Amino acid sequence: MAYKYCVAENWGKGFIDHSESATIGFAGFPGNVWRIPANNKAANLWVFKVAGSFKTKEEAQAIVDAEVATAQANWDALPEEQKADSTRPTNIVLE
Amino acid sequence: MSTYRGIQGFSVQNLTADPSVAVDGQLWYNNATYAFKILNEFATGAWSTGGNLVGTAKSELAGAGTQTAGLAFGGSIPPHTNETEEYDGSTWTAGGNLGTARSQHAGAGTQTAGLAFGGNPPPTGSNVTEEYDGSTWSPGGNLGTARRNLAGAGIQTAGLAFGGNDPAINATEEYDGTSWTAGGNLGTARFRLAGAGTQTAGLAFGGDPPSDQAKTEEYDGSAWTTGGNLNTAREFLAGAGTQTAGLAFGGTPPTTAATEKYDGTSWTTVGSMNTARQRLAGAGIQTTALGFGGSTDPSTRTTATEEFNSPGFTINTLTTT
Repeated sequence: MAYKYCVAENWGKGFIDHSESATIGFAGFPGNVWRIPANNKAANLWVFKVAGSFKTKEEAQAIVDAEVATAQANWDALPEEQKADSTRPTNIVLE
Repeated sequence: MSTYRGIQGFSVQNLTADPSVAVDGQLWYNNATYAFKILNEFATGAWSTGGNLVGTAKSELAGAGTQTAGLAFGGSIPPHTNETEEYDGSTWTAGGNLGTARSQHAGAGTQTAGLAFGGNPPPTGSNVTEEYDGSTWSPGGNLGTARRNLAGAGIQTAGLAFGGNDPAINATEEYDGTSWTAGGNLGTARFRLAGAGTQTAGLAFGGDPPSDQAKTEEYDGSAWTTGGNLNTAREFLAGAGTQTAGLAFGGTPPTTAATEKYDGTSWTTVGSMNTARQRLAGAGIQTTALGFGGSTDPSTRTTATEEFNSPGFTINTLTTT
């Protein structure tokens, strides 16, 4: 399946309703990046509803990478005993 | 030519408001909003976004309650937080803080009668239990076996703790509102599992070690027996519901949005979460569940909340020309 990406801040209730979830098929990523099907009217209407901003795959990947890098830096700065109790954030590769 | 009346058996109704009861595909005209409306049902269920957690983004938290009266407490931010939040079906608000900040603990009960038990620190974990009354946590009886990465079920006066730690243990304990006593051991020792149900009809599913990530067991108040395997094997997942109507969602590896419902015999895949996540918490029942917090990878935490409804439905406005 072909995908496209957008950035939209999840404001909570009503951001994605049951109908949109069932018909579109979302994947959310760090940085408010959302993957949606390409060439899909329902998906396009949803992006309009949430005032989303379309991104190329490369732009979306850069946003996700920046979020993960920040999380990795935060993890690297943890005391060793806290590192032992968690896992360093891993890179996310968008499809 | 097919007509709406011919298909549905009745004409399009002219109503002053959307009906409180409707069936899938039912069409009506709302003469207050001058719009044709249709009800679309999703028999397998669907997740929608709910209000975001208002505290710190957190993973490895615990939950209790229902979709419209949920409770989130503790978690890893890191290190551990003592934050409690209460959900009303739309919005989270701060509740009373846990006495002991913790993560990798378990929860049970309701928003006004919650139970928190176990959790960090490693390696052995904690035996601390706390009881919530809707505003304040107070000390309860300690677990007999300190542990973390455990699962829980039941209510404040009839709780169930099972599995946990790293490496895995199989110990089960039952709470009566005052103290924990030993129950029947899990058939498969495991940690990072999920639980649902009650003290006398419990459900354990998923978890680590990797060879046991799909396993389900059912508790009858004294012994665990084998149930049907999850279709998506996983750990760090969340659960809701009962032994004969359970729900499993999220987890890893890899981080998944997969959701499955249990009928007392087997698991069936239903609509996926909108944001795949692990180390999240759950509440509610199979038909109206709540998933919140967690992380999209081991340490990228989220405040996002999602609500599962099965069957789910929405009322859509039809555009006519």
